[in-house]
Amino acid sequence: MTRAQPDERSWVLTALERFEGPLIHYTARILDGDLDRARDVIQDVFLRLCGQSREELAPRLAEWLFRVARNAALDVRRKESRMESNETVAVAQTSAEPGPAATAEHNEDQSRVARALAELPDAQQEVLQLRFQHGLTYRELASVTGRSVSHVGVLIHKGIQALRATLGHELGECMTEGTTR
Amino acid sequence: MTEQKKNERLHADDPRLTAHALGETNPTEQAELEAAIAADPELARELAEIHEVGALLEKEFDGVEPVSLTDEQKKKVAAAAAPPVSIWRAPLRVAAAGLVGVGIWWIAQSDRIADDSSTGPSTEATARTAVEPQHELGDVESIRESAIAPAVDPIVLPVENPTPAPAPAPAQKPRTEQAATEQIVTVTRRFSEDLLAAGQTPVNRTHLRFDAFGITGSNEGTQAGSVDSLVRFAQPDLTELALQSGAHADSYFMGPSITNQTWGSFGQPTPGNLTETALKQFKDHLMTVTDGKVSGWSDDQLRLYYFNKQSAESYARIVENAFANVKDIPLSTFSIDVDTASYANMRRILRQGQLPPPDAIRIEEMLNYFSYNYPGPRGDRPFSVDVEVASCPWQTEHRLARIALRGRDPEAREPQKRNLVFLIDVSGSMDSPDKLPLLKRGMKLLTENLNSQDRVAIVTYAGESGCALEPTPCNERTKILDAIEKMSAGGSTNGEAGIQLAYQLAVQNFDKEGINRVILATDGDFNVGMSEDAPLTRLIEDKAKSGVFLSVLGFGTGNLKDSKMESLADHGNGNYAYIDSIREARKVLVHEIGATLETIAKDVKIQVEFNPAQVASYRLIGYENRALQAQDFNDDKKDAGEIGAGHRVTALYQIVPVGGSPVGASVDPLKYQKKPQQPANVPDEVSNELMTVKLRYKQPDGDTSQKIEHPVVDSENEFAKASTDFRFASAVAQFGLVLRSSQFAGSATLESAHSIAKESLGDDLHGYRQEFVELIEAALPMFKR
Repeated sequence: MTRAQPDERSWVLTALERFEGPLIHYTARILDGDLDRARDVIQDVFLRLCGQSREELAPRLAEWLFRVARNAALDVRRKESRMESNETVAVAQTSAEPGPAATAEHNEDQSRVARALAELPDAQQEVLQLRFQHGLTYRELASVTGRSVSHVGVLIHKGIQALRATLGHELGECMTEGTTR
Repeated sequence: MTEQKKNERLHADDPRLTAHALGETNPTEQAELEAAIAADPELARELAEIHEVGALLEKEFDGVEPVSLTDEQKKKVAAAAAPPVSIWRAPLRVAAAGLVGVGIWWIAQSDRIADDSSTGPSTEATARTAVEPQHELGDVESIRESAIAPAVDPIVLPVENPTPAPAPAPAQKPRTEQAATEQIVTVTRRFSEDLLAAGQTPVNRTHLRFDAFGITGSNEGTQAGSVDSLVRFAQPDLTELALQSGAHADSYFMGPSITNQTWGSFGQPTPGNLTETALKQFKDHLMTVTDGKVSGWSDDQLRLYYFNKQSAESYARIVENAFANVKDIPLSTFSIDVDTASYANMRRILRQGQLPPPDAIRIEEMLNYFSYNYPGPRGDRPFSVDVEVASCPWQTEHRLARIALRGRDPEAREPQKRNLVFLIDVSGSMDSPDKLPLLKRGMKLLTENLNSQDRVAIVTYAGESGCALEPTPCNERTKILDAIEKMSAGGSTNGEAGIQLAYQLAVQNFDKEGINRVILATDGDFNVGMSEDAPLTRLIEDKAKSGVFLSVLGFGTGNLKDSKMESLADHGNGNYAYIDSIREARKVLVHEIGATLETIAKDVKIQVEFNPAQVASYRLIGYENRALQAQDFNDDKKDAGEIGAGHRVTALYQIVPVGGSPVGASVDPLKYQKKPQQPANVPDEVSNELMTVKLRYKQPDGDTSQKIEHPVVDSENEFAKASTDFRFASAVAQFGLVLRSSQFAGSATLESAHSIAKESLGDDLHGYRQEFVELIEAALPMFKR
């Protein structure tokens, strides 16, 4: 029987194995690509997970983890920005500026897709990453990002449309060669 | 509406196309889109490119280097993930004077409930394989942390002073001796705390607790009650699990210990209306321990228990609106209502296997429980108005008109800052798993969802009121969560001082641009200080002038003063919700947070003028306690309901067309008045109108109202062709009419409500409509009796 034992230890650790990577990547994006700070945030997320009830979280574990990670990372970012300068960091929610990835990781090694992605507004990048890297559904995305399902739909749609415009001529190649480079 | 959508040509730049490509559409939309795509090669190309971009993205993200936590970090998590298992060796002494020789214990284990379908190891087997004990009782932390971890040790219920009370007839095979002595008891946090707080003398403490506990209804003050409360304390976590699995807490409480004497004073069991499924569930988890032997409960005991639970609840009498003759009363005026408490309360009662009392059913609150796909507002208006008319399913010669309002969605503008003050009843009666612990979980959920600039304060009230948390910004979330965690119940209730303090804090931090709200959570028992309804509502009304809004959250059973709480919310410019499960807490506090907390228009009134050329008589379904005088409509001093972001308001009129069979009593024609002429100067272009729906509302901070007029022409639509939402709402109304045993129910039956509801589930994102269908199914057998 594959049913998880009622051992509280195992379910948190199973979740850790499955989600630590995706969560660190996701939070690093919010934290200007800083993997170490992302790890700290994610450690806290899992410590908090220990206090949760497995039965309640099981059906929406990914949703919970990403949402809590997001909030925690945004908190870290706000706190730090307050310390560094008086400038308020625009919360990813409303920012229409290209995301931090655009400035932090703008180098030639990146694939064209990555560069095109980095040009998108932060909010669009975020949902695209959550969708295509981590496979979250619209509903889960809505819960994680605190937006409505229809808003998520629009963000993904706009993101894809923008990528199509930038990558337009590559799309055909992709079909035939199966490569993006 | 739906037809409009279908006729619209699908534009290539439509988010629905992307949603379709990603498999995010519901079957109806999917079919529509597929048809549109098949018909349009441009769309098909579009779709293919979306797929390609998706594939590119997946590949891109796939190439990301794997990362993980450091070993140090992993160790920390692993350490925290393994709570020490507590063991509780002290035999529990149920020994107070006069306590009868029958104790009841629960020998379920948390995972038995969680994994209902489990064919896995029996509780006994699990017990043997469980982890070795590491801590004795006395290690506070370990016990606190072990909320759900099963403790493993036989608990003996020594029966002191054994009265030869006849054991209740076992309804199922008695468990074995071994099972009786090897019971597995989930040691819970609250019970452990109780033990420790009492210096490890659980017996006395428990009894003290019971004294303050105030078990309600027929159990009050009886010896049977003591065991009841004792076992309740022992099982909050199991109850929580039960709550999560959708059951109501009460279903999993222990019943009273039963003696002949107690049974006698309760009288004969009522004809049971506990459903078979419910009975079966309970039997699996309920045990009676008699002289070390364990047996199940009989059906009659269970039924009686539930019957007794019911008795102390009070509901204001509802006199249903009658049919009004258009010639006599051409105007129908009422205040909107977005409360949903009645629905949750009805659900709780039905889940317990009982029929709710008719006055517990407020049809408008049932209608407004559900989310409908009404078109959103355009322009600056805070809400949209939509009217749909079709034939009435329970009286087919009549028409049913549905007036629908939809508040603008919460994300349409910058999130406002929230200044929330929780005012929490921590009196003894809140000390029940379906009250304070449930509320605490709900508050934690809400706190997780607040932004860091939001502020939360907590005022508790019992014998004396106190500030449990000064207004704290949400970037100090842990501080808030700690304060929530620390609250515990005890003492009697003084609502007044608490209300004063809560409003004072809310006003101190008043944010003109933000949302300022006091959230009162209680089981409705104000029994110290100002407990009379009238002065209390006046106080609230007075406080509402400060611009602070009020939400009232009702908890628990048995002592629910439903009408009082609703009236408090009404006077405090607020809304009232009843919370019966963690699911409901989430719906109210988290999913509807925008709606519960962000008012977008206040004093919203509806007035309908019926055209006597078309309508003979009409009846507003529900909204009985929201009726207004016709002249109140234009009177801006008259208070009415609020609408929040994302809120939907639905009202149904049953309309008898001219020439249709008249319903209800009629008045004699007047002798001395001029007979009203048939529509005298009605211009042709409006004479075919059925009615005009007029709305008045004020901006949340405004004093003068604005008016919207919405003329309605009956398009002679058949019920079968009405929109999904219309049909679903009509099923909800039918269910309400049947539950109320309404004289206006016509041909409405549970069966027809069921079949209509089942066919009109729509998107049902959160599964609420499906749950409604199941509730009807739960009610069916009770009506057959």
